[in-house]
Amino acid sequence: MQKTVGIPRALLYYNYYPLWKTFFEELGCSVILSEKTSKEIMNRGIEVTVDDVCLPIKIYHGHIRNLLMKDLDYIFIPRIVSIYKKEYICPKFSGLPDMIRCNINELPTIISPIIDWSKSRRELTKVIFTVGSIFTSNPYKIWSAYKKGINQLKIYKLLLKQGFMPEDAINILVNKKDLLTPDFNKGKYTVLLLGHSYNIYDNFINMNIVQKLRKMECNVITPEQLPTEKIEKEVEKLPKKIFWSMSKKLVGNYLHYIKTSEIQGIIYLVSFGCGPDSLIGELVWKWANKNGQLPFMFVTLDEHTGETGFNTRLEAFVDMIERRVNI
Amino acid sequence: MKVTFPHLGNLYIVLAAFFENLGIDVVIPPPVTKKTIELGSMYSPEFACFPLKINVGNFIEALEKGADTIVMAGGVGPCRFGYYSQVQKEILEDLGYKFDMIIFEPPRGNMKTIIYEINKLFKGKNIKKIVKSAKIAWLKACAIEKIESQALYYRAREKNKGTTTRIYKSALNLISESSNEETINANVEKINKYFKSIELDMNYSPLKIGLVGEIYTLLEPSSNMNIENILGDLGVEVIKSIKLTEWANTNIILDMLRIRRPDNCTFAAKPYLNYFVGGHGVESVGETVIYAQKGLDGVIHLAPFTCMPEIIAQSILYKVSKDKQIPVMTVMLDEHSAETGFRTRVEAFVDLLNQKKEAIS
Ligand code: SF4
Ligand code: SF4
Repeated sequence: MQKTVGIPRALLYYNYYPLWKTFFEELGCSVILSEKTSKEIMNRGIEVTVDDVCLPIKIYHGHIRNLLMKDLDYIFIPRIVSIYKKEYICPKFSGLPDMIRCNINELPTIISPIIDWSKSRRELTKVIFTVGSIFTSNPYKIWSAYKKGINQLKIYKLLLKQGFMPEDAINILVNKKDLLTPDFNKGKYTVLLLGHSYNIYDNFINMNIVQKLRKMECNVITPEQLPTEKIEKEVEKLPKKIFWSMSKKLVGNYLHYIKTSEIQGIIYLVSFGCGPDSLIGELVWKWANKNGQLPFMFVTLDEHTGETGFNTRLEAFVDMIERRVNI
Repeated sequence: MKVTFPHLGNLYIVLAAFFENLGIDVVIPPPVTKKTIELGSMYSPEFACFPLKINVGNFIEALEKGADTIVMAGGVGPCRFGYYSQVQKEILEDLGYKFDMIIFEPPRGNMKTIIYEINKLFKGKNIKKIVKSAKIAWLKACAIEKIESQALYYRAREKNKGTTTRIYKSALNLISESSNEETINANVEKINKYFKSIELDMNYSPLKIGLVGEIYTLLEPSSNMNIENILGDLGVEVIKSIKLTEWANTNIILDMLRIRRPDNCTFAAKPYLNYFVGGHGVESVGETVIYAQKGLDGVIHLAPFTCMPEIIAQSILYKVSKDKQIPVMTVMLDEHSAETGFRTRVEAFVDLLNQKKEAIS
């Protein structure tokens, strides 16, 4: 019988889903994704988490509970500690599987590989084979599943670089559609949208910010579009290495685009109570204020953020861009 | 050069001894007051950790008193502490202060920069003198720790409320004033006698509450509304396992020698939290398990608001508390915490534990 593996549509889903999906499917599993984030999912997350935890983690809990309503053999909750040497994602990612285990009962078998490349990538092969061998004893099959997954991930990343949003990019990949030329970069202005992937790409969390901006004639650039080398080149100059990979990417993006004339404004989305961004966001904000050239808006998101107020701020922001450009 | 550093409980006594013995001028930041906290919070990022804010308050007050060099510890993640100094430096510079900041990164960081930073501070000092100053500082640290734990024991059992706290204060003064090894040792003896002279209620068996959580909020009384005194005055014995010397031992000395000690705490936490999450998250969980096994009456878990490792610990402590049948109360602290509300919560928790204890006996 085909085994089913559940994957929550949250957190680093937006960065790695094509790899995970392909890997499990190549090993003969059927992959079941939780539904899109909704109020219902959010509330189910809030019910089982402590108040002080940030919204993305609450929502992740909601997705896990959503998956429990489906018929699953396994659930995939990787422990993603670090993906680059001497860097980390965020402590909450290191403790994620433990929080889930303590907060949610009656889970199916959890597949929870430890991804910790903070010291080296030596463990990579071991991790792949440990997970793969749950489903097959054929090492060749495992390795080729991984390779295919990596290939899919590469294409996915290319699509993101072109400006496709994850849902569209995944659609193109899954339905094997031809590469369409993006038809969305036709606005008058361009806005750099900074934030962690699960905030800028989850349309429930961000209240559809990308669509809203596009409607107001703004093109949107996201951090995933800038090549790693360019990010590295910028952050190298900082007096102290930023050891959170996601925040580092945002700073690299900021430092890169601020020097170009490609953008007319910057929006920075942060989760209420986010640890890394409470410091890194502040630095970026200070720099942007000193620089003073571009409209810069900080948006703090949590379960209480109201959409009306948010829309008003967004409109005011685009107005400001218009005024500045037309001077 | 006039050196200053952030407050962390009684650490200032140790650091001041170290620098002064080296002939370096020290400006000890004024004791943390409401105003310190207000100043720090006003200029720090709203959602930064509470310790970062109090540090900023300390720095501003010390710079105003004439300090020109800030000594601060660094870090390499995953927690925020490693980036404190960068942010603090920007904040203070934006306020117009002129100063030098010497940041000690942990040995796991880059050796070259550590030597460079050490050089800035100790240029021209001879090694013998450095070693001697370090030794005196260490002796003081050990003496202070002993005083702190004696105070926890005696305060819960004293007949006349307030005696222990009075002795505690004068004991700290004695250590602070001791200038060499001999006086430190002699004063330790003297202090022991002081404590032994406290009249105790021998028939009384106090409630025992373990204090766990983030290290700053455990060690700096101004950040935790002086919880040790509140509990002690309620007749509760506080059990605490974070000790500065021990922490320095594991995190600095053993780390430098790359020795990893298998410790009970990580082991005890394993069934619940199986990976390092920065700060003291794993310790909070592990210590709670150990305290439950030792039969303590309850655990109070302290953390700064938005503290990442401790939020993880908090999520997990619910389960530990249920499994191990030990009441646990988490208190998140920041500049908005109100003393009265805090006291009421602590008192209610103690009442609950007392009732539970009576019901059993
Ligand atoms: S990076 Fe921020 S938003 Fe993301 S999990 Fe950590 S604290 Fe939460
Ligand atoms: S342990 Fe908590 S308070 Fe300390 S740096 Fe980390 S998040 Fe901040």
